[in-house]
Amino acid sequence: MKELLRILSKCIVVIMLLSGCTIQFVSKYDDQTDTNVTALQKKFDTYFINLKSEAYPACSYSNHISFYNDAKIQLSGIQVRAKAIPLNDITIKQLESLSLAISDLEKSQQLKDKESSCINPLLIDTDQIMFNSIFTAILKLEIAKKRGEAK
Amino acid sequence: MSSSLDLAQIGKLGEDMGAAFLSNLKDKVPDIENYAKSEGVKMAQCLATITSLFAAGAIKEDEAKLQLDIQKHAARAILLTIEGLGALAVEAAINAALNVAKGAVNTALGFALI
Repeated sequence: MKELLRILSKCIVVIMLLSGCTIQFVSKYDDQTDTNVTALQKKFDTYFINLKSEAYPACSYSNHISFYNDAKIQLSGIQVRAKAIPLNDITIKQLESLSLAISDLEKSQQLKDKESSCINPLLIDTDQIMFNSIFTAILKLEIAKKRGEAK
Repeated sequence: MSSSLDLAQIGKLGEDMGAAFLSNLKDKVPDIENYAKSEGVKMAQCLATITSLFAAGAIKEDEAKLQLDIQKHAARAILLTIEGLGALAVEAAINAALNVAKGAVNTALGFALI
């Protein structure tokens, strides 16, 4: 046991010398990602609140195409930046989940257009909760990347 | 002046590194646990809403499937955060243990090699 500890300690010393004494598994905090994801979250929150107060045809997908286009463009910018940052795989996957959720929301609204009706207000509430969960997930990890540093 | 670590020092070093590692890791667990629990409750409530609306005939199958898909994407994002927080916790714990080793090595050598 003592011999094993001795060998382990020597290995750790070698690793420390070679690696510069710190290990990093996750990317550093990016304030642009934080700011841009927060802005996109506000955009969606505003959208859901307005959607709940709209009756057909104001609530129709055709009336909100520009919202979806703007959201996709904003998200694309965030994704491009995220992919440029090393060790950022988890955030990249989270942004993919957000992209797919937006696509599903869009399809859901297109479905309602065929029925000439709006998304059920209870479902709009559910969607708002789910999207906020996605945004919170992304931001929680991003802020944790600060690793206790004052920024 | 000693320029190497004897067996007793190495044993103590191993213990101190282990303690630093575990202490760091334990600090992060409650936050991850609380986050997972609160998001789990939200998921369950949203799932109940979707299924009850479908059961009541208020939404059709294709719409219910899309809503469930949105929920899956949300669940994935949350699980990824838990994975990321876990990775950060392990990273911090390893670095804390390495710092303990760094201190011991420099003390044993008598100068700040690292």
